[in-house]
Amino acid sequence: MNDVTREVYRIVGETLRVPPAELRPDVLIRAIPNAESIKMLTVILKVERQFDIEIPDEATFGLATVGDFDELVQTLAAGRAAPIGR
Amino acid sequence: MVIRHGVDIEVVSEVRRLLDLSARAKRRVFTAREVEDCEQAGDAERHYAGRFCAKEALFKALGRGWQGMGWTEAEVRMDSGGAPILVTRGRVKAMLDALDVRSVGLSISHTGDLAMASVILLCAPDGGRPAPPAPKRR
Repeated sequence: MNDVTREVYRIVGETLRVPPAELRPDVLIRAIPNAESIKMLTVILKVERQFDIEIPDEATFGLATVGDFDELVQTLAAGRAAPIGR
Repeated sequence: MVIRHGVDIEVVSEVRRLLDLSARAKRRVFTAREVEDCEQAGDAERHYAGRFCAKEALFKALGRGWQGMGWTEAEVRMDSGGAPILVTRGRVKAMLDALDVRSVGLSISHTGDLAMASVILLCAPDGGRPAPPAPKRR
């Protein structure tokens, strides 16, 4: 698990109130009880702020799992040199 | 006519916390016109929350969740009588067109720290087919 993934999982876990031990790449986002739209927007805005990226609305279509979301963030963050842990 | 319905309810203070997260938050969810309207109105938080509910209710009426939807492609305005209306553009408008939506009804309500909205779409008789797929991920 790299630093980006660690931060993504931390933000997802804290925002959606999922214990860290229960967050795995294959966990379905829609199966997380607190993953309604406003909470997911909160996750997205926190991740954008953390990595200084912008996640296009259309890029969220088809995201099924926590791993999918992490992969999207990894891709977008790859072009940035934003420090984490601000 | 085919009727499609969507409804949403949110906690006003939770919408405020969302918008306080970053400078980009408001323009990610609301159009410049909506921001101006909400800021000029008294109790902006309630107006933002009501508009958030309206967008979410529209997405539900379209048979979609939050994923892949352009939040600023659905704009809440007030008509000359003060009633809320939805103005759409881009992919959201394309979805309405694909369903042959003839009329969009919107109602927004607030009480205490809650806001809610209901959206009713009146579609042509053959407009009940599934909404077209949203664009693929980049």
